[in-house]
Amino acid sequence: MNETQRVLLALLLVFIGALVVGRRRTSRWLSTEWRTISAFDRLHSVVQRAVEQGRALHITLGRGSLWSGTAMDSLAGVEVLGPVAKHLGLTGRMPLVTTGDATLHLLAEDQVHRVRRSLATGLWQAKPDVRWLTATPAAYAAGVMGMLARQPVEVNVMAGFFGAEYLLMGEAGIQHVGVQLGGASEPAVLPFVVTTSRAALLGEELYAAGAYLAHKPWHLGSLWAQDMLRWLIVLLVLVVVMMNTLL
Amino acid sequence: MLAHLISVPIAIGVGLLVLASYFIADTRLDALANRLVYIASIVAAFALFLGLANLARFHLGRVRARCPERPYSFILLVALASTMALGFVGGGPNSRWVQCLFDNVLFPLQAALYSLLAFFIVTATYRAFRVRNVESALFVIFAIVVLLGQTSAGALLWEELPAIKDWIFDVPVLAGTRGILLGVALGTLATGIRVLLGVDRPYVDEAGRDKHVHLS
Amino acid sequence: MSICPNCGASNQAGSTTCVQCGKLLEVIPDWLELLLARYGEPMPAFEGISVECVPSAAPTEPLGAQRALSDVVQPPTDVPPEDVELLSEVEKLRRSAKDQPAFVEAQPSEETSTSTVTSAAHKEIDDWLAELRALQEKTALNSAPTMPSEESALEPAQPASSESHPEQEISPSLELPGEPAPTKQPDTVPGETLAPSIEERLGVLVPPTDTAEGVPEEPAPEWLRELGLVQPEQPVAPSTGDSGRLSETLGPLPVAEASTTGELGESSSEEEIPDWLKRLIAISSQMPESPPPGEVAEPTQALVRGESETPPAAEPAPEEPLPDWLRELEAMQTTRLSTATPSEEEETIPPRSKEEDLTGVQEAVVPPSPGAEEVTTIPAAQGEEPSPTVGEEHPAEWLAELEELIERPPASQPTPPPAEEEVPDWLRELAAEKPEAMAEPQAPAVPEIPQPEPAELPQWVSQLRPTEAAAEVPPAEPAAAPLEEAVPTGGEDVIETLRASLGIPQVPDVEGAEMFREIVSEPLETALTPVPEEVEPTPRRNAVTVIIWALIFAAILLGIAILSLALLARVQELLGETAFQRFLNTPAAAGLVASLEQFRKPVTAIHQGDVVLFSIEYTPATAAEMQPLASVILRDLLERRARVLTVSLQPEGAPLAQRLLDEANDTYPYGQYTLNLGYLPGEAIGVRSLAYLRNRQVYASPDGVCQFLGECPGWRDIRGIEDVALFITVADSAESTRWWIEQLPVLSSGEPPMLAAVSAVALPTVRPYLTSAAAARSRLTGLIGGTIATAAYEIYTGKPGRALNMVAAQSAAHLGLVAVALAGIFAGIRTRTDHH
Repeated sequence: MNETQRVLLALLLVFIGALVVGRRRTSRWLSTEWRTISAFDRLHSVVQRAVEQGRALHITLGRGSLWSGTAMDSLAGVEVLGPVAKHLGLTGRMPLVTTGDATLHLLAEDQVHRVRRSLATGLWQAKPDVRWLTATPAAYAAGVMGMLARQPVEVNVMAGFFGAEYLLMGEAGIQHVGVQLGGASEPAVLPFVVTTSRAALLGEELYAAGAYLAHKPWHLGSLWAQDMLRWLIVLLVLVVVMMNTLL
Repeated sequence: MLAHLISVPIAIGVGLLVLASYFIADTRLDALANRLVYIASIVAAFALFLGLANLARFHLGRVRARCPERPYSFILLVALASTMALGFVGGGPNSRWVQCLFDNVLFPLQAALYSLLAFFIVTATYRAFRVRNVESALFVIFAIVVLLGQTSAGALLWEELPAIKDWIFDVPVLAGTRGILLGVALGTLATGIRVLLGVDRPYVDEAGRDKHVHLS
Repeated sequence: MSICPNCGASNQAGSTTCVQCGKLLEVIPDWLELLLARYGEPMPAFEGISVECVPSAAPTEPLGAQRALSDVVQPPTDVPPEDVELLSEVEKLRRSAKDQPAFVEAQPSEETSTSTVTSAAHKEIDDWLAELRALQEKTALNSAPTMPSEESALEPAQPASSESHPEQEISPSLELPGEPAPTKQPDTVPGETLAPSIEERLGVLVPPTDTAEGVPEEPAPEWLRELGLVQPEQPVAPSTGDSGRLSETLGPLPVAEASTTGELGESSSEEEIPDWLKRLIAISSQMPESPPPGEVAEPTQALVRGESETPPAAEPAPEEPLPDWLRELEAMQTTRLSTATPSEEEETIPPRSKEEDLTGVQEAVVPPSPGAEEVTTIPAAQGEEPSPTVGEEHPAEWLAELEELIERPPASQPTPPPAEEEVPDWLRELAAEKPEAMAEPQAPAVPEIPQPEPAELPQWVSQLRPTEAAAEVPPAEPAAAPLEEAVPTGGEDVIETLRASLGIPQVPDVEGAEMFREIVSEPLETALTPVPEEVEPTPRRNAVTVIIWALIFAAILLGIAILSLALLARVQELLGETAFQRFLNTPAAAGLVASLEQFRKPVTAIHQGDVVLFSIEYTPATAAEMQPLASVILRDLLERRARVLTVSLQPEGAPLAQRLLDEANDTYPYGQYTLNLGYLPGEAIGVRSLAYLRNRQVYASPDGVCQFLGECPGWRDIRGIEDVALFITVADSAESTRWWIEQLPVLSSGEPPMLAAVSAVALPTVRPYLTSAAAARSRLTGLIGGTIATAAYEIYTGKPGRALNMVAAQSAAHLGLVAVALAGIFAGIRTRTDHH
């Protein structure tokens, strides 16, 4: 085990400890404890808007595969999909979901069907519509653009792993959709997200969906653990800078 | 309940095994980890089959239902079938026929679609470059400096522009990028740890667990 | 007598069910029955009677002269049922009285053909029908009672076919007795419209003695009141040589049935006057007083019964004076005509209709007055003023009662009988016989019905009902019904239903009502499921339009090209290769040059035969930018005789790599200097599969034999990743670069450097890995990106390629983007200024 591996292992163990402590500490949601993320605040109203307009709510989860480094972005997108589908399902409707990866498509379809089953109130429930468009980025963007142009979509939510094709989909959404929300972790994509979305999830804000939308205790704990680790890193940076400067 | 007892231990065990192979230098562990990754890639390939089935079912339904967009669905189904047939008959995905199809169809189509980015960037620039406050003003100034400094034309306007551009890249942009990457790394770490520890089980149907919708 | 509304048959007065069809008879006055009967069926032919209607002919002889014929007619003593049609014969008399000369001439002639009589009868009937209807229309139109003009009143009846008049509305004046609604009745003097004609026509029935002035006026007979031909309180106009004039309330005679025709034919077989006419005349001559009011309801019936029997010795008494009642009528009519103002109805109704009304009046049943045997001519010519009424200064009670009867609704009140002292003796006798006749109903027994149903008025009668009366009628729906229940879905029904429920009278459809209708008739929009938006079909374009647009597009392109050619040299001079080369020599390009040199340092250190792992991590979408960069780097490596193994962590990278290697195949054959290992699945994890490089399957076998790297000649010495001397990744995104940067140290513990050639977009994201490589223990030692770096690389290698051609375009695009950004800034400033 080289030095890098040792550092990484130490960081991992610290994080796990902080995660457990955070889970115990923040077992319940406190709006005063966490800063406001406007994209999550707007998500409730855009769902209502889609219902009132009688048009579809489209949510796309990007093209990140579940068995690669982009899996975490895809899982964060699924964390956005769950509460949105549940909230929309209360009105008897289901969101229109598209993905750019086959494994992500399986997870998204399972999530939506799970939400629908949990909302089995005896009332009429719309059939979930989860589509896998294609595997290549350009074709994926073309599919989303065509869907936004041809189908009555009122709200477009893009959360997951994207590349430069985000701008294509975002511009198409601006032209055809009433409200657009987006989130990505790639720094190169963030300018596209900011310019095309009414509210954006930038970087790590995308990973806070489970905590802000579903108030899951472990997600709240991981948020606390991330903040703790961030402070730790800042502290380390300052210490090292001072040491290198002074010494 | 049985699914929980089977799937959760498998997911946790495999994940920890692969993670351990990163830290522990062991040949057998590495071989096992590699084998598991290889199996995962095969499973992902089968997921591709399921995605293809979903795609075909959806577009076949549109063709049968005589939707207005059925011509596009019909073309997609024909393209899918012909490409698969060409790969099976022509000698595999690495055959010359598939290569010819890639060079003459897929390559130009994707290149043409991405060429639209140039026009979309123009519209996004026009929309985004609005001076509303100090931050947006700095944003606009930096953007113009970088745009000019990226080309030789900027050097013609001002010799220092490329140097300023380099400084912008090396200092503020790099700082912001590192901060974003750090946060993303922490978020990725948190998400991965939750899945590895079995706290988050997206692969398991936990009916009734997440009952409350807390959309604020 | 009552007329069955179902079949139109005449039934005895007082009968509750029809003798023919058995339907329940409605309590309607006889005058109305006459009207119904008249207009419900065509007038039957009267045989044996030659009546020549001369509409324009004005009676020239006094009424008394005409009464000579009427004297022949004696009221019958018995009234067989089939003699009900005698009423129709009476109107014949009336007509004949109007056309006295013709009639008088016709009577003695025995050769008068039945057909002539029939046609003449038809003509006369049609005329009075038309006139009656016209008068009724006139009365219905006007809200205020109006006085008919003298001319219209005296307008002679025009011959008209009976078939043309069945639907004509009778003048309301003729149907007033018993009518519930007409508010105009008290004020109208319809009798004055028709009275002269009626009186003239009925003059045949009026005894000549009654026409003489000075004879004490007698009240109108009961039968006359029942017929509605006389209005109460109307002074009887004294006859001035004309036949006695009656009010317009005199109804028409009932329809003569077929059986009557035979009798008429039989009667016409007499040499001079039919028996029925003789009876009528006899009756009129024998009636000294008007019957009591209570007996007015059955005057017509009695008269018909009386008329059905040929009076044994009925002879006309042409010289008998008019009966008092007739004189009173004349006086009343004269008074009304002189005092009343012409009504709007009169002005609107054409003369023709008035004539028809007069004709109808002629056909009304007019029982013979005591002087009825005197045939009196009814002035048919227009313009004749009614004779001054006799006894004008003494309005008869019967007239008052008649008017009262007119005002009362027919269904609610029975027809009041006239004053006892006003009914002539002959009529009284007939009335006396009526109870006997009623006691021995000759009609088949019908089941008694305790309560007769309200009269079902025919359409033309109901149309005459004033609108106020219609508005007062409560709607079928209860008034307390909620408005929501009363509002139907239809647009037109909404307003009608609301109007009926709220009791709002009919109003003209104004704009507001139309707007309300539009609002209410809008369909409710309830949708549980989102309704897919209808996509408007794209308009089809014909070939001509397409050609036109293509030509326009070509013209634009041509113009741009021509313009560019003019500027191309200058642009090339400013932004092209030479300018870029000059730029590289400037201090401004120091950073670029430094990064390039840092990147090329490991490349220049490659020896012949060294293995370089070249990863292609871009897609066809970004191939325009990345392929020139990959190509220049590859050429730089191949020129140093390095062995290049291409791999890709993306599915599209393998064919792109093959495409790249095929371009250099001419100089550096594939399989000798280059080999494509294809796609490595798993992305970041796929890098770790390179640990077993020897067993990697090649993408395309160079000789068609070897399938794995270890089998291919010239590559068998490679055992694993440790044999790789340099790692170069050409990526369009930072993530794929990170895959290699993060996984390579794990894969290889050696010291081979790693170079990254990325797109301009990914350059800022990858740069931290370069600047902190030492601290991060990464293998990244060189980083370049963008078209500028590619162009610089091409210049440094001495192999100018596509990148140098792209520099000018990219510089121009950047300048244009700056202009767009400035435009957006100023647009934002202006928007904010306008907002303020």
